[in-house]
Amino acid sequence: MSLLAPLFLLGLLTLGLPLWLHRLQTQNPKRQMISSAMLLDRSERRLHVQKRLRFLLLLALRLALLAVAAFAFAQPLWRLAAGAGLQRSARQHLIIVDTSLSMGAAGRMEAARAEALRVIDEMQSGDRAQIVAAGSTIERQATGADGASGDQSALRRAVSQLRAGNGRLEYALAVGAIDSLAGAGDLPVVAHLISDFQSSGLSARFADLLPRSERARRIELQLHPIAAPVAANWAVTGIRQSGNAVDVTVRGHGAPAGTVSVKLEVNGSARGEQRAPITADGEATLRFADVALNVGDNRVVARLGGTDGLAGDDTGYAVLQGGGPQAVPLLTTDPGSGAATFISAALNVSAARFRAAPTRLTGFDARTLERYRWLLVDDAGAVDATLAAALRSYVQSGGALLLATGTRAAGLQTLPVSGEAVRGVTVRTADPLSIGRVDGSHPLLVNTRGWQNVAIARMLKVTPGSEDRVLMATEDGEALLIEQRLGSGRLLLLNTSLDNTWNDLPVAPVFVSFMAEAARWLAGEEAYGSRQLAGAVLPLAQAGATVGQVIDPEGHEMLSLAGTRNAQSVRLASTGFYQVVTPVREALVAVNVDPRESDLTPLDAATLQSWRTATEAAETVAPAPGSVQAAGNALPLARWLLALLALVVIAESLAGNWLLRRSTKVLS
Amino acid sequence: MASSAARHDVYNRLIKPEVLAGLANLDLIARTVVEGALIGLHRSPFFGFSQEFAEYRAYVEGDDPRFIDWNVYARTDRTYIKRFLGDTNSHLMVLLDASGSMAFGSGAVTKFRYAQMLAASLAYLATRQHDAIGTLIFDEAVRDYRAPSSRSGQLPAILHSLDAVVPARRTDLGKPFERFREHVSRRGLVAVISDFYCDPDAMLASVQPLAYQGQDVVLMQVLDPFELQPRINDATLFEDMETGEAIEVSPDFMQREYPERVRAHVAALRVAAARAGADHIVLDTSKPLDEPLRQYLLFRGRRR
Repeated sequence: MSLLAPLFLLGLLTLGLPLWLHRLQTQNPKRQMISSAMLLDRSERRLHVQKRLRFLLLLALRLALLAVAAFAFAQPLWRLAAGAGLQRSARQHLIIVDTSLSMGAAGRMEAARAEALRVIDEMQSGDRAQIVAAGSTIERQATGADGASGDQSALRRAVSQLRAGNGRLEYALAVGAIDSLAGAGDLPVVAHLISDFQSSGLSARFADLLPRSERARRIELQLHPIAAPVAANWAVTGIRQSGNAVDVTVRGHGAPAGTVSVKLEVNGSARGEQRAPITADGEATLRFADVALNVGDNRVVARLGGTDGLAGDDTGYAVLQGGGPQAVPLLTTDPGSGAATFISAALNVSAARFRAAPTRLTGFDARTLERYRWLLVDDAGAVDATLAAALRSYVQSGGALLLATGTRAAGLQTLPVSGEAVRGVTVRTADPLSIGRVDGSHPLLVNTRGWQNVAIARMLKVTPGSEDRVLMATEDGEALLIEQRLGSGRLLLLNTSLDNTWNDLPVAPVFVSFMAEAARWLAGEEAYGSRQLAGAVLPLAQAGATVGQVIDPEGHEMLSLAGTRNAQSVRLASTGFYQVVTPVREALVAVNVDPRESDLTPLDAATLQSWRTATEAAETVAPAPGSVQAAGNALPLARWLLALLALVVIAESLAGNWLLRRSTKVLS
Repeated sequence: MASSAARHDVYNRLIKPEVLAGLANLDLIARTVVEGALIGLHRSPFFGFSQEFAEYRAYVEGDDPRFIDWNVYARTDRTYIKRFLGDTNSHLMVLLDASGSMAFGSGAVTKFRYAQMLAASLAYLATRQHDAIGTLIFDEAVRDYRAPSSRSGQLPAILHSLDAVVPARRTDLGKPFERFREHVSRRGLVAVISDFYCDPDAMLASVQPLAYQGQDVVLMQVLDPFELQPRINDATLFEDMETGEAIEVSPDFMQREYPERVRAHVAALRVAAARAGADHIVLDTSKPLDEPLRQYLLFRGRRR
């Protein structure tokens, strides 16, 4: 059966043909000449054409013939009531229970479990079911070898173990997973989505809410909204550092105006409580002044006082830096050089948490390299072999270095630290080069704009290695910025100077954003980030590197011994602080609930009904060939219509023959 | 002899127009009709060629001055016309309507064929009495005109011209009658043969000047039996033979109201004719032709 089969119903338009043919017997008024029409009454009836249908029996048969033929080609299905007609086949039930944060509101999870149990009770003989927990991830509960089970006790056990999580459920995600969750079986699938149906969980595209099957099997989606009162809810939505103060933002959802109180903790010790008025469904910011933070990362927790509809979003977590920007050595021949000035200024005005510390190359103690997360060299030509070896070792062990070139690098044959070959110097003072290609997919450059305005007068011609990544090239194709993988560290090669002698980059607007992004990337901040949402995936590994360990908010190590070497990512299921420990650094990640889960407002009835209606319409997806019986409750009528068509053809022939004989007899 | 003439009369009276129409020769038709009509009639003082003195009458404008009796004038100082019996009916002008409507006929004889035969009969009758005879065939214009004459070749020429006409186009009495007045100044009898499907006032406007000119006019309205009493069983679409206008009418209208309208129209024409000093005769094409000839002769007698 084709989806285009209903188009055969257009064949019903041919019903007009026999009607027209049978009305060809036209009875016009008799036409007669008359001497003059001057005495005829003009008010008499005007000319009209009266047509009569003739041979009504034959006409009826012909109409029936065409109608039956059109319906037969349209291949209609007769939907039978449950249990009627054909033997009802077994079905596979997917009982998808919303376990997002909002289900933690009072009474919701209990209602969802009760609804799931009711669905299990209504299963019929031969039906199988599996329980699915749907939060930020879709997880099958262990109820059988393949997840599906006909054992009601096992299913009930699985339901009883369902708990609300911290993640956010997008209904499109749950609906989209139905087909894969159903596995490879041929049974018709009935998916039961049991949820509080938060309005914030609706996807932008309504079509994403309709189940689809790659295997062309019939999927029936039944929505089970749980009846739960919408209680007033307040949530901590933000913790920000503002100088020596910490601001905590609280937002209300379906909440009346009133007063909110927040307690602040820093590194486990209470730092006071603040109260502030809040409007209905409004937002309030509570400021904790003069909060002393330790140098480095601080664990800041804001706890909302009182009780509300949802407890899971009453606590907020943040990692705040104390002690001001970190010093990053800028190894230079002249601390007062233009490069030092430009770099210091760029880091200062950007929001980067680093400041440049110009240091003479000759006075730098290479043994202190391990103290720093990253550092800069403004002229590779000034680096001697000893320092180059130390820097290479530092990078290989997980450090990061931005290596620029300057006037002293003009005579180099190979670059120090990286070892890349230098083919000479490009000099285009009269006609400076412009940037020809920028790798916008690299995290270092994704947020930088305006490279087309940079003019390059001199640069080293460096041949990149086979594993190097050219992030930026001039219009003549020479590599200008190269990322070189060196051990587990990061090395950036800038083949021109960081002052404005070889180019005008330091005075271009893009320089500030470039230095800020370079600082973030070299410090590895883009890899983890200090703020994540519950349910997010934290990427850990860089190819082939040792990843270390991740400690969850409860203090448990998340990775096994093998996982410490090859784990690619971890899922941040809980809220709180995750500690990521790598061989070169230690990062702290604050995980909070998704603020959209705090809004407990359910979908309005009209939207829910539209979803149901659209779902029912989508269930008419054609079954796979041979799976008609599996559909179970639809009887194909085409074969019966074809039989009826044959009967009508015979009747039409007999009637036509009879009428023809009668007409001939009358004529004779 | 009397019984033989009576039989002959009866015989001719039984000659239906459709039988006459089957005769190809219009001359033969006219001769048959006239001879049949005259047989059995007593010699009438109104007929016959004679130079016998009949009367004097006062000269009026339009009379030929050659017939003024100057002797009387010398004695009485008044102008008188000296009339002879032969002069009183020496001039007959037949005006034949050859418009499209005349082609109508519910039977074997159309109105025009009937009118042709009537005109030929009148011409033959006039010739037989040595009257001058002329014809004017018209529709909306003059299609053929033959000035009155009593020459021997006039009758065949008139019959030929009548025979050659095919009815067509519309009817308009105004222009042909105006031209007729221009050509004929001599007073005489004027027989207008038409179905007169026109406005009675328009007909009056056309005929009245002839009366003022001194012509004695008789309007012979030829109608088909269907026009007098139509019978249809179903709604019928009637198409005007001149204008092409089509009107669908019901049987009830045609059988009840239409005859009344025809009668009213005929009555209106009769009144208009009376106002113009003309006679009006309705001729049924299903009736034999001797009847209109008799009526003509009566008319001729009254107008002496």
